[in-house]
Amino acid sequence: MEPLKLIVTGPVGAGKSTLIRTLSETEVVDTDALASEAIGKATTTVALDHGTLRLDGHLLHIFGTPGQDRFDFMWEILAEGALGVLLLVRADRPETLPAARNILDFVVSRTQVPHVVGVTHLDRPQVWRPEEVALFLGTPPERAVGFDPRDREEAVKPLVRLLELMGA
Amino acid sequence: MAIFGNLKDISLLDLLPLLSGQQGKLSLRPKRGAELLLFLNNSRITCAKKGEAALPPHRVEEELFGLLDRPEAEFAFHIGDRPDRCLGRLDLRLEELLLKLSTLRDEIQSVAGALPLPDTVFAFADPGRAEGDPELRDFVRLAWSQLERGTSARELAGLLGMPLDRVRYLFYKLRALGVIQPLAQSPRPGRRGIARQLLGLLKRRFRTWSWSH
Ligand SMILES: Nc1nc2c(ncn2[C@@H]2O[C@H](COP(=O)(O)OP(=O)(O)O)[C@@H](O)[C@H]2O)c(=O)[nH]1
Ligand SMILES: [Mg+2]
Repeated sequence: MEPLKLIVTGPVGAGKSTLIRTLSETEVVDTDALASEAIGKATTTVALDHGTLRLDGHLLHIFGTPGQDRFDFMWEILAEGALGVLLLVRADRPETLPAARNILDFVVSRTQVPHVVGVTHLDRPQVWRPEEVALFLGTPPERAVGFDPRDREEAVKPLVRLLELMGA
Repeated sequence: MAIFGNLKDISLLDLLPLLSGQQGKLSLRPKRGAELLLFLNNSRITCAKKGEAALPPHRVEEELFGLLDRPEAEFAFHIGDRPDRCLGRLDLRLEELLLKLSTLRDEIQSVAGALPLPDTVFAFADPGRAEGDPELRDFVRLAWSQLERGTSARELAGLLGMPLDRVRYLFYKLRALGVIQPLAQSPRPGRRGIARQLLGLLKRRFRTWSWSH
C-alpha cells in the first residue's frame, strides 16, 4: 500500500516536534529507512522530524518541516501525494502570524494538499482564538482547531478535523 | 594607488560616499553575473554599463540594490577614467540614490519575516488598488501579464532582472493593499474514501476524547 504522508509545519516553537512525538509510535528520528521509503533518498540527509502512526493496514508517516524559504526545495518532495498539511501556530505569539500566513500561502498556491491550522498554547494568559487566527490567515474558521500537542488525546484533533473536511 | 576591495568587507553604503567627490570609473564584479561599471563625475553617476549594455536609471537602482547587503563582489575605482562612448547618459545624484537605497533596505529588513515566500504564486485580486502609489503602479504595469495568470516573486525577479527580495517586498505591499492574493490550487480530488476510512480507525483508537463538535 502506498505510504500515507502528513506534513506538520509552522514557525519555530509552534509545537511541531511535540505533536510528532506525541502522535508517533516509533522513536522520532530525523533519518531512517521508513523516511526514505516515503519521501525519497535525497531528502533523508536533511534533518526532519519524522514519526509514524499505524492504523490497521495503513502506516501514516508524519513529517515536520520548518516553514522557511530555504526549505522550499523539500516541499516538492514532501507535498507529492501528501494527505494533508497541519500548519501549527502559537496563539500567544501574534508576531509569528505573518510568517505562518506566508507558509499557508505557499502551501495553497503551490500544492494540491488540503490543510488544517492547529492553534497551540491556548492555555497561556493572552491568546488569539482559533477563529481569529483563521481570519488573519485568510482560511475558513472550520479549518482552525485549538489543541494541546503535549496531550495524546488532544494531539489527534487537527488530524481528525482534516479527515472530516476531506471526507465531507 | 587605487581604491579596491570587496563589498563583503566595505559596504556599498560606505564606498559610494567616499567616491562621490571623485571623477572616474567604479568596477563592481559580483561572484556571479556580469561586471557592473559606474562612471562617476561631480557626485553623480553619469553612465552605467553591464557587459556591453548601457543601463537606464531604474536598472542602475536595481543593480545597486542587489549589492547592498554585502555580497561577495570585488570593486576597484579607476580615478580619471571616462566612458569612451555612452549610449544613454545619466544624471543620477549619488546622495539621493543612496538615501533611496538605504531607506528601501531598512523597509525590507523591518518586515523581513513577513515577506512572502519566493515561490508562492500570486495573481490579481484588484489591480486598481495600486493606482495610488506610483512605484507600485509602475511595477504592476511591468508585471501585468504575469500577474493576470499568476506568478511567483522568484519567477518575476528572473524575468524583470530585479533582486528577489525587492520583488518579495513589492508583493508584500501589493498583498496588504489587496492588489494581489495567493492563487489557490484546487485540492487533489479522490481522497474522500481514504479520509473516511482513516477517520473511522482514529475514532476507534482514540476513545477518551469527546467526538462531538
Ligand atoms: N504551554 C504550552 N506549551 C506548549 C504547547 N504546545 C507546545 N508547547 C511547548 O512549546 C515548546 C516548543 O515546542 P516544539 O514542539 O519544540 O516546537 P517546534 O519548534 O514547532 O518543533 C515545547 O517546550 C513544548 O512543550 C501548548 O499548547 N501549551
Ligand atoms: Mg522542532
